[in-house]
Amino acid sequence: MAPSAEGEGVAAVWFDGTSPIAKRVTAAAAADGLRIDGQGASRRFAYADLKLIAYGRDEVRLGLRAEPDARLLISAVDAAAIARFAPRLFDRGQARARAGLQMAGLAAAGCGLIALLFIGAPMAAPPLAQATPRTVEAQMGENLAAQVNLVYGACSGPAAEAAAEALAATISRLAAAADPGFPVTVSFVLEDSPNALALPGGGVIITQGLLETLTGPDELTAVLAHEMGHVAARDGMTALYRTLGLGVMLDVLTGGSGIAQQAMVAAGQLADLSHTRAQEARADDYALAALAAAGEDPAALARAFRALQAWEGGDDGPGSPEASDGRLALPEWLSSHPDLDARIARAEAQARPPAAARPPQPDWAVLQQACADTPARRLPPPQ
Amino acid sequence: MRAAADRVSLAIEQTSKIGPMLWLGVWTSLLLLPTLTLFRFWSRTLFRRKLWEETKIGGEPLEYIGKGSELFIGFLIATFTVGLPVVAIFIFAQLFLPLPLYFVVGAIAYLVLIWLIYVAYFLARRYLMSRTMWRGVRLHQGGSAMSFGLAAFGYLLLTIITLGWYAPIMRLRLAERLWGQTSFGDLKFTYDGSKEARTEPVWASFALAWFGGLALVGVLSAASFAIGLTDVGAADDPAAMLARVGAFYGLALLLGLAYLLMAAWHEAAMLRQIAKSIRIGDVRLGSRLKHWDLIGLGLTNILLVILTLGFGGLAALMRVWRLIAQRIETDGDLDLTRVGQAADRGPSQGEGLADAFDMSGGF
Repeated sequence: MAPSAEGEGVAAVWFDGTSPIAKRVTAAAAADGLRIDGQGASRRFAYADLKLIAYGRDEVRLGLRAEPDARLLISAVDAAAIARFAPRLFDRGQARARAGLQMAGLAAAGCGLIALLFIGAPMAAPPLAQATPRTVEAQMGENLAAQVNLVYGACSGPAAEAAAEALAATISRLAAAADPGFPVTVSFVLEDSPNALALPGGGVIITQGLLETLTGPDELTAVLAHEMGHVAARDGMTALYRTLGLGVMLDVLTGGSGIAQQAMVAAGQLADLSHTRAQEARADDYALAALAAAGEDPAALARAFRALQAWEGGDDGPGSPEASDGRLALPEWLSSHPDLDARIARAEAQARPPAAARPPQPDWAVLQQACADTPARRLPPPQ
Repeated sequence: MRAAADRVSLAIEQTSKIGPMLWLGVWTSLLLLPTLTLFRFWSRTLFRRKLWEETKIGGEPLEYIGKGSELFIGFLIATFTVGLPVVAIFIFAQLFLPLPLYFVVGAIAYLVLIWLIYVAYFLARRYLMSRTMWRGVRLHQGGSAMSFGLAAFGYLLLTIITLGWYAPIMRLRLAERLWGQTSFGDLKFTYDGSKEARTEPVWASFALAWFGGLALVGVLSAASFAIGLTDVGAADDPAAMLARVGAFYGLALLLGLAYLLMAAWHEAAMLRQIAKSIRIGDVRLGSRLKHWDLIGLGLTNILLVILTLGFGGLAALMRVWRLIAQRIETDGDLDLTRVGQAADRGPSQGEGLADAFDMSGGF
């Protein structure tokens, strides 16, 4: 029977936290506190000393703030009856509200972290890159080049050396016209798709595919100038900080958990791409200015883009009829190389006639044979 | 009905239901997104709290007294003392060291990582034990995490050298190390790791799993050749490639299920063997788990997780816990007068390292 008057006790079970033996006690609720009596246990608790551990359907568990292992168990019915003496103690709503606040706090922290990662990291990357000592960047570039060559098969031998030698004069002309800040060296790799990559520290990697796609040495010069623009702006270093920073922070934060991380990675990818586009546009501007100042033909940049565009839509490229089954055209904002049409239009609009007389062009035949001495790999490189 | 007696049975009663666990899985998973998965510490705590309070021993429920904040702080500590330094070393090695040295550093780091995984496993168990209470008395895991890690590392080397045949011994030895140092309050569990106590068909069942697994790997490899998956670059047709990859995964799934059937016998035998080696006070434990229990559990759990698009993960874990708990047999009563509170309150924060490696086994 639930008591209605002050002082009458209800049956309860008391674990004193020093022994697992249960003590059957009587719990009497009064205005100033709770008293328990029975089987050698006689204690008085103020309601402020007690806390609600769990409010189940059948049973309520109370704990003691000062003795964290002690437990007082009262049936739910009896607890409801004595709750009027200490409404705050038995208030489940308060516990839920506190939990809700905690979750809101965590969500806010999460949003803050998201902002930090996807806005802060990309923002911090360029100044970090500029602040990195050039010797450090050069060392990193060397290491990365070794790893890239390991994976993608560097072209070597007399043919490759001859090709690099053929470009030497052009590179020094461009470097004299617009200082890239690092000594620029060119190497070639066995890779079918046309691409050029500017590593931190001044290394420029050119794929065999690019040599096969472009139609003349002036176009290669234009691409080189574009890559030197990346070197001058230290874009490789910026990308390293951005992807490393973002990637590492995400990995660490999410502790490798599955679902959320996939979503984060996808979102991170999108933030990554828009940055690259700005860098590409800046490199295009650098190239046009450097080409003009060095006496080369700035219009060759647009021609190089057209050649790339033809490859993308042609028989070997991703836009080819065989490959295009089921392949959707990516909207511009998803692609890491912005629509070539836009870049071609921009390059053509901004190209000015060269300042001086055209210097001699590198031997195209020699350049195209850069990888002639390097045996083709049996397996394609990892995608 | 609660007895105020001094001797109690340790019979286990587990009453968790799928529905509430499914709901818990859904809303805690959804909260992972806005919190960049930081909520996982609190969701794990909620899961354990619910699972423990629905597990009664001798009529009295277990209680989980851990907090999400403890796990979170443990994670922060592990991140700054282990995680970030390791990442920094890797990045530094990749960017500054010549290639051969980079591989050496990588190899050393890999070995250290394996050791750390076992250390993390021990720490996870130690935290879990210290936050598990029954009748107001906490459990306790003694022993050193570092030496556990080293021992496990050594056993792992032996397992590799013996092409896996040392694995059952490794598991039993590690169980002995852990249970031999576990106590309820100040009353220690004992683990009988002697050969005489090894009465389950550990070796016969392991042989089936080992040879069976080998045969399945052989079948999968042969099938891969037959399908043409090893002709890299043969045809660039994406549709055909997709079909081949799909066939591979379909076959892998089928063979995985076949392996489940073969390994269930060994797994059940090992669980029974470990259970029957454990005693506390006058109580002997045992298990009447059968291999078809595990097969049924495995198949239904796979269905559960797939059909709920992953949200049923917690419910699946609960079912594993529930099945094992319900199959435990106890012989004898525990004399509660022999038990006092554990003197050591355990670690003050959660098993951060274990979270980094996800070594709590899901629980």
